[in-house]
Amino acid sequence: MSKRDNRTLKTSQLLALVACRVLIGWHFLYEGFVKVLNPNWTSKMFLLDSQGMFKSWFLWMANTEGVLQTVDFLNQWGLVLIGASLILGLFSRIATVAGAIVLALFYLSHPPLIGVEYMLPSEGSYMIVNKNLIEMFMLIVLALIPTSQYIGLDRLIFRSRRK
Amino acid sequence: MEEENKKSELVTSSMKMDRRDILKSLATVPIVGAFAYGMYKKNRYYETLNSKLLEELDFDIKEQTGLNVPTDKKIRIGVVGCGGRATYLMRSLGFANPAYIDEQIEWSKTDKGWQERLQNFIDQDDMGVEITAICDVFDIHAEEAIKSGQNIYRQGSKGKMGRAPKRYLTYQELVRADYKRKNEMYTFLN
Repeated sequence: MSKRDNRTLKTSQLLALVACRVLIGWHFLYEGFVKVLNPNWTSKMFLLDSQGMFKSWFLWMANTEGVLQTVDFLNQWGLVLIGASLILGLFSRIATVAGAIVLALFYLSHPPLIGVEYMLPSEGSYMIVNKNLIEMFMLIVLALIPTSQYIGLDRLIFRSRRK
Repeated sequence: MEEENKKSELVTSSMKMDRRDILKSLATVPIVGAFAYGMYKKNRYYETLNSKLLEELDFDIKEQTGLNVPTDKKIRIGVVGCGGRATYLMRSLGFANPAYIDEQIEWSKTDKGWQERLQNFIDQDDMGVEITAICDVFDIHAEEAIKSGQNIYRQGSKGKMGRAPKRYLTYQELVRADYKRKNEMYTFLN
């Protein structure tokens, strides 16, 4: 078997990764739309509740009106675009990297560290590892093992580029 | 000439998108449709739920601006089960335990973020609700919830308190008391 063959994904492996991509995309898309459709939504309270080593940076974002508006806009539409992109498999590489960055920011603003208290309630119980971190690493896996060139609109782009 | 024709045939066939390519490219597109349908269903569900709730409360949201809710006709709330979830729910309605406020004041001394959050909590609009009943078999939970319920001015343990909610041991007692008061209390369960 050649080296290239070893690198080819089996159908079951490919389908499992595509399922992960679509599910994460669904999650992003819904989180985005919920924020877009709520005219009163702002990330201010979430940012004010930040802890960890980047706390002062997140507080600066929350307390600077122009920055907060930009952060809110990027958060709302960023989540929608990343979500749609992951589901459709269109520009997925960019979407996976952008999604991982967004999740890293969410994680860094609210790291579930020992002895750290938050005003906003968490939906689960965590110690250092939380769902944001897991989803972020799943997106890193999807960035390293792209699937959209096999199943997704990127296949059309990939094919036309190959010619 | 023949060779050239063959070459051009090869190029044309590779340029063509075959059915497999089209299907695999568009395979996840229907998921967007399923998402849109799910979102429409969920929004409809909550719209219906909210309109029923507002109807039950005889509350016309169109007449309201911001949180300018009528404070003369408060919605009475009874809390059944006063653990962590009830504590969060009561706090989201503006009723925090005085010890919690003490802790926030302490943290605010060295932290601007906490200071602003605490101020936001204290300054929040009156939601036109009052906690009139507490129900829990555990004394500690019930006592802490009573303190939260009477902390209508959102102050620390040395601050001014309002009327204490009545305590019930079982939800049956609470429901009976509610019935006697002509169902004026809206209970939430935990």
